Amino acid sequence: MKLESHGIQTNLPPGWEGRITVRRKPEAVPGDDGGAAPSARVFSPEHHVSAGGVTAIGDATEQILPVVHLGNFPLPGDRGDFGSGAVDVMTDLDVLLVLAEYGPECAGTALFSHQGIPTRLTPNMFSASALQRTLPGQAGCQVWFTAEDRAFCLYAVLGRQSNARRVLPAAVETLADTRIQPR
Amino acid sequence: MTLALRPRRTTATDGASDLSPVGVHRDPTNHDPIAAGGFAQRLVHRISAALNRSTPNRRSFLTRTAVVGSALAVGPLDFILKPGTAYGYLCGTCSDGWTAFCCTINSGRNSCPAGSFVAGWWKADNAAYCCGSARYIIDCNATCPTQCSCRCAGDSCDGRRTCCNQFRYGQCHTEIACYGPVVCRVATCVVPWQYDPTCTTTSRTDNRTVDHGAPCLGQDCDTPIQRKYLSLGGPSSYLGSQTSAERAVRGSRPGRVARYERGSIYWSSATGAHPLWGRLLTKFDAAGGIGGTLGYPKTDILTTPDERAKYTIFQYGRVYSMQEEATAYLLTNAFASKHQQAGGVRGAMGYPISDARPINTARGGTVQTFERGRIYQVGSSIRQTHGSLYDCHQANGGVGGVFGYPSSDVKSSYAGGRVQYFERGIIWSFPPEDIPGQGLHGVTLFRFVYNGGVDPRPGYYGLGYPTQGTTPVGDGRGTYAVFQRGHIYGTDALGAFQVHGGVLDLYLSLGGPTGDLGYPTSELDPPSASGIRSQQFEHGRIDRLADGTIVRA
Repeated sequence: MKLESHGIQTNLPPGWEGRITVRRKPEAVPGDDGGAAPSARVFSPEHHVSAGGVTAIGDATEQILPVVHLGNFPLPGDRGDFGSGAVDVMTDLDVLLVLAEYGPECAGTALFSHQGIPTRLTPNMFSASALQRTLPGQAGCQVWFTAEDRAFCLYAVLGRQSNARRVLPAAVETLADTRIQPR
Repeated sequence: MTLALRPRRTTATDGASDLSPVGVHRDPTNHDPIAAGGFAQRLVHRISAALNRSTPNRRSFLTRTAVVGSALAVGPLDFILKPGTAYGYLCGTCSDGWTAFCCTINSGRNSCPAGSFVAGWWKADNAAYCCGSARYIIDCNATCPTQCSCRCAGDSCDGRRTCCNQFRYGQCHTEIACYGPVVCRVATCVVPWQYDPTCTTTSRTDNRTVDHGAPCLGQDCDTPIQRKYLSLGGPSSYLGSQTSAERAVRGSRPGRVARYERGSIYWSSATGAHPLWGRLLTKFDAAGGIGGTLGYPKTDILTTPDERAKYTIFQYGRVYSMQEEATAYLLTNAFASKHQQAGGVRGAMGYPISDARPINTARGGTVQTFERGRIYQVGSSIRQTHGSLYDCHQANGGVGGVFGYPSSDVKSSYAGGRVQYFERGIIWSFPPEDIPGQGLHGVTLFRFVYNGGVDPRPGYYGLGYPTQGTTPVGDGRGTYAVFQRGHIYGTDALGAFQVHGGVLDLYLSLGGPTGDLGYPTSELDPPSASGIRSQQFEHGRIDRLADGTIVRA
């Protein structure tokens, strides 16, 4: 199944689910004193963009960029950008891929110096410590890269680290079928 | 709890190679902090994993791991060796998988400790901590090579992990590729790119962390000081970053204060929260701070309409910081009130040019000088003087001179003039204001006042305002004063009398008080039956005949 939005395209293997999400950009409102608020607040209803979406309340000047969630398990509707909510329901043979885009100012910086979508994920790249939230048995890996002058972080989570060799091929195949187009 | 960055063990167990060429920038010397962590930390992870495997339900798993982690965080040996329940240790959450807050491990400071850097951030929406606005969690990742070991944060309710999670949000310091584990988390209501300018505005959201807290982490929304700080722009405001936690002020003037890089915010229930910085803060501190002369600030830092000064009004005074002088002056409320009565900085006195200082006279008191006036205090009496009256008073020696201390403020007088009373004299001015004030004292004053002053009594010839104040004649005997319509001459022995009209003209032509006639010894008599009016002098008399002719008798 093909998934495409915001210049990101991928083909999902059978049994996989995917979402390309852009949270709603907040709107500025005045502060309590009627003057300019230092951190403008917004109150907006849940908003779905592309194949998914969640409520966004924050600062009007923040950049809201796409986040891709791909998994070989049912993705819950309420997910944090780096997969919280989803990682909680992963089983031993589950794998989650997150592609999170960063602003153009990040492209090519030291952190994002690697060029091109990573298509090679090996077990030694994963660590039980490399998780946003460490959950027993799970392992994660972050790969930072720039593709088509767009900066991304690939965050991969394994439901059980010891099953890396069984689940990684499908993840690598999915990444190999992923394309990023210039902005 | 002291700083978290204990040196990690040098025998790293991972032995992973450097993966940075493929875009993996975790510290290659610390590939798996959990595996390299302490005994208790590894045990937490293993027991949590074991419970997970035997648990059919993820919800109960999470509950269990929290309890186990809590127990181990607070007292791992007790938990392992002693039978019984772990529920006595519910505060800790070492195994919930999250990282502790910085204030827990950084001596109460909600900031990245040494050996770590601001590496990324996320937000949680609808945060009660931030009055319903977004709450921002900023990760402090260890710098490479990592100088801390994975462990539980300690024995507070925030017993989460420190230096365990090799995860990076990645919006900050992207010029730094290599990163160690997250040492701790900063929680703030300030947008991260204001908190640290290296952070980009790319937003990431995780609402599950919205209620994560720590005993050392105040609810930003609950403190007026924090709200004020945020309203001013938080770290991007002139105040800069917060340098010490908000604390209570006790004693007779209770309130709260928080310190920032370049200033402070003070709060009391009576005044609200207001910031101070720069010379205003320096002056405030020099005056004893909250417990001193000024008390709490009642306003934010204000600017005068002509923008010559910044100022703050306090409970018991105000301070003006002069832009052009790079100095600040303090007015107590009593002096400020007098100053305001005269129109404040835009009024007759202008800006202060000194603080109040003691008066070097036998009677003492204090004085504060303004651009065009002064305020004097002796005991409970506080008086202001300004304009041409002030100039005249100063020209005559001020409070140490013939007039002494003011006994009234400047008052309005007849026909648009002004008058001020002093201990030993009176000074008048009349429009236009640029005509110098003139003061009378001694016998000349007595006569002028007796005859009705500038607003003469019925039946008296009004001399008008003095145009030359009491002046020595120069003969060592007497004084005189010049008015709009006549003169007054006198000596202490003879008293003083006014001379005006044609009589004055003839008197002056005859040499005045140092001429043939000497000093006057009477007023001009009322008309006699023949219509003649006479004025007596020491050595003669001048008559004003019925036809108006003036003759020396």
